[in-house]
Amino acid sequence: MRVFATYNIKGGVGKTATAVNLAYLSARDGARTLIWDLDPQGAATFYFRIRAKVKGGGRKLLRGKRPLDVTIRGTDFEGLDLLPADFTYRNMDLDLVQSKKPTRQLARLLLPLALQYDYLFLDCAPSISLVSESVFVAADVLLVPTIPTTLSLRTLDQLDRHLQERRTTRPRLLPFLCMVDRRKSLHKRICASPHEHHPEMLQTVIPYSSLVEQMGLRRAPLPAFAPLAEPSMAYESLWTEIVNRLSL
Amino acid sequence: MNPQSVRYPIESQIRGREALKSASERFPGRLKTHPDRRSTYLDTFDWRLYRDGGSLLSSTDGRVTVLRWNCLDGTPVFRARLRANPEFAWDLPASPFRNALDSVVEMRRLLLRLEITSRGETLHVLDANQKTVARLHFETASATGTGSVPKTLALPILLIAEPIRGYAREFQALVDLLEDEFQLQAASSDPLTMALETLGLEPSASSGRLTVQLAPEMRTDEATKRIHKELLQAILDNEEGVRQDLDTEFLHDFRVAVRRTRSALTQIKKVYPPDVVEHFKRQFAWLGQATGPTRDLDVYLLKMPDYRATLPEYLQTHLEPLQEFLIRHQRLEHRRLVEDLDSQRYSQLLESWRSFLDDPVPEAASATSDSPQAEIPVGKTASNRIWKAYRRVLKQGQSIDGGSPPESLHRLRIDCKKLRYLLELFRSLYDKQEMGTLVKALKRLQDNLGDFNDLEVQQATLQSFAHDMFQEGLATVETLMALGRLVDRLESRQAEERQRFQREFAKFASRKNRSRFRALFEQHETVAT
Ligand SMILES: Nc1ncnc2c1ncn2[C@@H]1O[C@H](COP(=O)(O)OP(=O)(O)OP(=O)(O)O)[C@@H](O)[C@H]1O
Ligand SMILES: [Mg+2]
Repeated sequence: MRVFATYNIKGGVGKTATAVNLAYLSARDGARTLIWDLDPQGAATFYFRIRAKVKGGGRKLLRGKRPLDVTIRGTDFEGLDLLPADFTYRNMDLDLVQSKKPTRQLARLLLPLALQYDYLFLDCAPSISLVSESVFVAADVLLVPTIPTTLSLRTLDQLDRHLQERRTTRPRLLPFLCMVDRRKSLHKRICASPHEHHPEMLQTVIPYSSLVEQMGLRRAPLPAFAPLAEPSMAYESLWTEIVNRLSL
Repeated sequence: MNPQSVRYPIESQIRGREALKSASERFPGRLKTHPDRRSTYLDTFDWRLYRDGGSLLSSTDGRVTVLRWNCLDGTPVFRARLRANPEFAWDLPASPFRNALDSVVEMRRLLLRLEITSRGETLHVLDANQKTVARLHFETASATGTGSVPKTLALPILLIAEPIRGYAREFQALVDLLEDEFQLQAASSDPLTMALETLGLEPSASSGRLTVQLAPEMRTDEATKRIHKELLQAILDNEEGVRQDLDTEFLHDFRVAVRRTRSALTQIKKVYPPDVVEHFKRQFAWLGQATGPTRDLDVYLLKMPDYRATLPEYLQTHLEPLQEFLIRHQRLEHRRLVEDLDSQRYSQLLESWRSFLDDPVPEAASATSDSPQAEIPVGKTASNRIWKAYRRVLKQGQSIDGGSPPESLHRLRIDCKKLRYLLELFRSLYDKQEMGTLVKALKRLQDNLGDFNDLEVQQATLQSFAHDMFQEGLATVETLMALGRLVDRLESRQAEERQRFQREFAKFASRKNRSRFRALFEQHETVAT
């Protein structure tokens, strides 16, 4: 099982949209895929019309008292399952800190899933915290949606430096540009040569599109209800590029 | 894990629709009709996937083909989206799916075995968020076999309850409705088996192993004819695949059947009239030779990946001309082979052979003059022949030491082959497990001897290919170098096999195996031959 996390210190940059759409595409292509909604707000869970509730709350789950296995729910799409969010995830930091090696706890919980799934997508809440430290341990790859502005690029640098400082193994950082508005000259300039801003920056950019916002109304992954639309195609090529980049 | 879909046969379309309708009144949801859907079961000629406990189903949806490899009980194993059906496992993109498929089907072509056309309606059971929590499908379908005379037959009408992970309660409610109120009973067989049964197809057939059942007291000529009939059937079964060159196994199995036919003719002595033996021995020898060149080239083509892997990376691409050369010559030889199969000689051979086999065996006594062994019970003949062949293998093998010339190993290889054919032809007369053990032990020794011989032949053949390629202008200096390297590698591998021989033979000739052979085949009264 390979673990992806959609992550950014900043909020509202397209993490959840990315996790939901890429997980959908990976399942459609035949991979056994799971998405774990780690955000207490439960946006990913909402997109799949699943109730954001974990029996017994997040604490039991995070302490390993209740196996993840029985909490998993099938989405409406073949090969795609979801571990729902729960509002108690807002206390995740506290729940984690009480286990033996707090930053390793998440990775430990994932072990039993390794044979059941080919890909796991962790959809993270913004911020940098004990939860995100745990995600850095558990994930093989951090997918970082980055809006093409100077400030966002600076945040990306910060994240990069933060990861470089870690002595333990670190996830591979794969940033990409998203919510790109071609009418803005700054966006255009930054998108002209993505890898100048980060050596691993993916070539594919996700355009700004009101269709992505419609995912909230349709409550479904974008490529499921508008497979041929421009942003869907962008997610398609993003997924293909990731698969190729990692030679999966 | 999640429970699998449960399929319920239902006696009529009307009843099925009714059931779906009342389910939709009971459970909130959305009914959706789906138009005709076509899907195809792929499997090899010898049903390797089915016999491995799975099915490979391909359904086309617009321009994409979805390939699903499931366990027969429906548990998904692999799924992939492709542009077209794969013809061989290696047509899939590199993936765990391809590797697993390759290990089951190997070099065999994935044939379109069964086509299913289905239509029906689905009830998506929804919760308050319009989330699907279970599905109920109503399905009518027909299956079409893809043989020389394809027929289409209706499959049982079904209601299928499909669970969704994490919604066990909702699924159970659906199952309760179907089982308690509608009094339906779950189908006992999986979809593929059901379709095969409907069409009267028998997927266990044609696995290459002889299935003929002999009884020890049967007359030897009668038993030999039964063996020969089954082998003739194997020749006929594989002929079309050989003609079309669907995959290399058709020709392989065809040749095995021809060789076994000859070996039964010559190894089971004095049961047919001598002129019959003489005639058909010659004719089948001809057929064996006619198929030889194509098989040789097939074998080299199959070895190509291995050859490539043997070489350092910078030389690997320079083997491409060899591949081209082999393909070109294989096509040529295959065309010649088809001409032979089209010839009168071939059709007359099969015809006269068939009519000889169909002739009843001569009455008692009339056979004694020119086929004195014909009436002896086959159990006796078999033990006698096998025991002799085994003794010869032992004697020949024991005379070989580190300094013996290669010819002595070649002789032993031939003796082993004869023993192997006898064991296989008469397998059904003896204890299954004991025979399995002995055949396996012999096979190990044969692999060693076969590889030793084969590696020698390969060196000579590659050298002659190099020569021909040079003459045909196909070989660059690098290609010749690559071939040279390859021949060196093969030579050292041959030396390794020679090293291994003594150990392998000792294993085969172990005390345990010797007493097994003795217990099964040694006879106390000797039969004059
Ligand atoms: N490419 C896009 N074009 C237009 N709107 C987008 C795009 N991507 C995401 N959005 C919208 O922006 C909002 C935030 O997106 P999303 O929830 O995916 O971001 P996030 O990083 O997960 O946010 P949070 O930090 O709150 O978890 C949503 O309303 C979403 O519909
Ligand atoms: Mg989010």
